[in-house]
Parts: sequence; structure tokens; C-alpha cells
Amino acid sequence: MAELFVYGIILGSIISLGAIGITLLYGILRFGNFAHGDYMTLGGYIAYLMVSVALPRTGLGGSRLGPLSFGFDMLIAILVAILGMAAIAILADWLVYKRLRERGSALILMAMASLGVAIIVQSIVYLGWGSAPKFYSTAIQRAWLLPLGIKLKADQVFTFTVAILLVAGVHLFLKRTRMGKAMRATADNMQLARVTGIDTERVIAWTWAIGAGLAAVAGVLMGIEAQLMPVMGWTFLIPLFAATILGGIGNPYGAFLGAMIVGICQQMSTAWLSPAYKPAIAFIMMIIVLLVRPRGLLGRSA
Amino acid sequence: MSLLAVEGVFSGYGGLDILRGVSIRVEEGEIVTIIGPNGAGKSTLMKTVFGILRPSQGSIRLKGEEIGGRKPHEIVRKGISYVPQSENVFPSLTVEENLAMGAFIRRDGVRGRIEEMFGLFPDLAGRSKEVVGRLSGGQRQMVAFARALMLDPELILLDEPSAGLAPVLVSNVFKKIMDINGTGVAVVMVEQNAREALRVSHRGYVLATGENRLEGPGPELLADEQVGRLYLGG
Repeated sequence: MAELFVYGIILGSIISLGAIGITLLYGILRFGNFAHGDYMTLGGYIAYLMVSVALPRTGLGGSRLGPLSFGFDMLIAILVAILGMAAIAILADWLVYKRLRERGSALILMAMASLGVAIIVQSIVYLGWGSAPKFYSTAIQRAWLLPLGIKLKADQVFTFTVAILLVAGVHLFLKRTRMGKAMRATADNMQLARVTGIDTERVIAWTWAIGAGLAAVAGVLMGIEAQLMPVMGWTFLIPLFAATILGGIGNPYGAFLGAMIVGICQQMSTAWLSPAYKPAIAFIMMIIVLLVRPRGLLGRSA
Repeated sequence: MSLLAVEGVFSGYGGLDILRGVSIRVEEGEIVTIIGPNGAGKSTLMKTVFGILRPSQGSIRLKGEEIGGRKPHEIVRKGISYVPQSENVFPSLTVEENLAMGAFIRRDGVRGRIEEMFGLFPDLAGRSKEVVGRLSGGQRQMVAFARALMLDPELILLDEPSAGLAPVLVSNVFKKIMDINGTGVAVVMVEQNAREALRVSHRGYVLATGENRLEGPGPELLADEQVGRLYLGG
């Protein structure tokens, strides 16, 4: 049980990186980004492109960082995936969502458009890499045996550490920087932000960049944890939205808390149920929250 | 040259003109009040001057420069600020952060200006780290004023500054408006509390059904029999 709890925290770390992006985007744009899972996937594959093709040609790669299953090249690959996904998300906003905003389209149309973007992104992954699973590394990694019978791999510690650092980074960004404060102000009241002189289109671009950058890292961490699959992000949408709604949509701290709870519940459930039911656990949690406390744990009252 | 000159402006929502040829002038350092019945187009006029609505006809000039149809984030750089009637603060931000947002387009001198605002609004000084959503209505209105003053504007537009406040706070709001004016800022306000507003105003305009009805010095309008009967409640 203790082991499942720890694995739940690892899973929660990955969910939180996706859920924080969804919640920040919702706060500003007021629609749920259904392409978020596929942004994770594409981020994971961009890193794969780097470690499997691009970086080995430059002579980087092959080495391993201490007990981790990957080397320094993976850190570069993660950085490229973040920047690449940030650029792709801003481009998608410019091509799709900005046009809808300027026409004053209904929010439901934006959500539907994001579904279209999700399908396009997923198709790109299929076309580029095929449907077979991909692995960053085939190296076998020995797990450490910790007290309470917990088996933990160095990669899992890496996943948790990266997630915590990024969550802390988002916190500092929102609280300390001029753009972070403008983002919170825009989430509070976009009209007022405009009359105050805030360029809300720039705020929106930053929000996409941060959301998609975090999603890219989540995708890479999923790939490190198991494998890369073209549908991995799409099927991950349920825990992502469950965490977002549980925490209170629009609240990044809530998204982190919700992600940890969903991750732990999903992993603990495997003590009694087949792991195939993990998405169902997230789905049931989401329904219960919507019935009992629709504004979520840390959500604002209407 | 007037600080603000609105001439023959037509404007409204979705092709339907609410303003039908409104003209107003504001000179430097003046307080100008716009009164009129509901639906007269008072708030529409404010939104049109500030670029939230586009005028379909007419001109809006700030110190001679045409600003009609420009976007709010451009107009705010010209030295005008706007305080909307409701939802005029960022509730999840602290007092200090709200003020900092007021000076978003400026990168330096923000800290000093915040201190100046705490001098003008001493009520806020001890609450700089408090989240604005937890403040009282009167305090929030002060935050909204201070936010709008952060860029040191020459003109501030106030849409119903006393709306929704307890009667004891209303006179305080008008006192603050006079304080703001005392620092050299011209004020244009739309008000339901027409009597109090005209009392502190240099001049006033009466609008009805999107057109100019009357204008004159504040005390004169207050004394006008027709204004009294129609808009001041007796």
C-alpha cells in the first residue's frame, strides 16, 4: 500500500503539469482545452526526435546521468520540447482561437475547435512516428528498495523533482513577475485588464506558452515512466480534467492538489481493481465532485 | 483647445445607436458631471470615449488629437483613465498588485507612485498586502480610483462612482473626487446621485435619449427648475 501511495504521488506529479496548464488556460480563455493531452503527446515525441535522431548526430547522447535511465541529452531534449510546444501552441492560437475570439464566437465553439486541434496533433504524431510504442531508453534500471517495501527508481525521483520545481516556478511566475500578475489580473477580469492598458493578447500568448510547455514536460515524463504512444495524451484527458475540476477550475494551486489526489486514488485503486479501471476511477471522482462540490476544493464561489 | 472635445458622436451596440449626436467638452482641471435618466446613454458615452465602443459618427479629440475608434490600451497611454461602474478592481489580487496593474504600461517609478497613492488614500496604506476581494465596497472603490490614477492621467472618467455604496460612504467618495481634482486631474463622471455630483462640479451636462438636453455650471443646473423636476427628484 505504501508503495502504491508513492507511485500515486509520481503519477500525480505528471497529472499536475498537465492540469495546471488546463486550469491557467481556462482562467484566461474560459474554455477547456481538449487538445491539452495531445500537446503532452507531441511534446514527448519531440523529445524522442531529439534523443533518437537529432542529438546523436551532434555527438551528444548515449551517456547516462548517474542512476537515471537517460543522459544529459534528455535534458536538452526536454528544453527543446518545451520551446517547441510553446511555439506550436501560440501558432495554433493564432491560426484557430484568435480568429474565433475576434469574431466573438461562443466559448463552446472554442472548445470544439480544440477538439479539432487535438485530432490534428494526434494525426501528426501517427504520421510522423507510427502507432507502435517508442522508448527513450531500453536500458534496464534497478530500483532502490526503501523501507515499507517501497521500490523506487531514480527516474521516478527525477519525475517528482522536475514536477515540483516546475510547479514552484509557476507559483513564483504568477506571484512575482509583471507578466504573471497581469495573467492573474486578466483571469480576474479581461475587460478591466484591457482598460488598464494590459495587452491581453500577449497575456494569452504567454498562457499558451506556459500551458503547452508544462504539457510537453508531462509528456516526456510519461515517456520516461513507461513508453510513448500516439494516444497516451488523449486517454490522459480524463485524469487531467478530473484533477482540474477537483481542485477548482481556474485555480493552479487547486490543480496541483487535485492532481495529487487523483494520482494517489488511481494508483491505490489497483490494490483492489485491475489497472485497466484507472481512468474510470478518475472519471468517477470527477462526477462526484461535480455533484457534491462543483466549484472544486479551492474554487471560488460563484 | 479643450482637454477633451466630443462632437456629434453617434455610438451604441451592434449597429443600434444609443448616442445620437452627443457633444461635450472638458477643460483642463475641471470636474464635469453628466446626468440624465436611465438609458440616456451616459455609460455609453464613457465607453465610447475610452474606446470600448466605436463611434459610428462624430469626433473625439484629446488635446486636439483624434482618438475616436482607438483601442483602450492605446487610449490609456494618452493620459486618460477609466473606472467602470462595476467590477472595477481585480478581486484576487492584493491592493498593491491592483495598483501595480494600473501602471502596467510603465516599467519604472511604479513603487513611488504606489506610495503617493497611499498618501492620497490613507485607508489603503495599511492594507497593501490584502486581497481586494475581501475589502469593503467603499475600500474597493478607493482601490479602483487609485488604480486609475497610477499613470498620472490628465483626465479620469468615472462611471457612477457612488453606485452601490452605503449613503454614509457616498459623501466620502465625492470628497475623494475633489481631492483627486485638487491634484490637477480633470474628472468626468456619470452619476445617479445628481445633486451631490453637481454640487462638486464645475459644469454639468444633462443627456436624454442619446442627445444633449441642457448644460451649464454645476450650481446653475442645480438651481434650474426643469432639471430639479426631471432629474433631481423634486
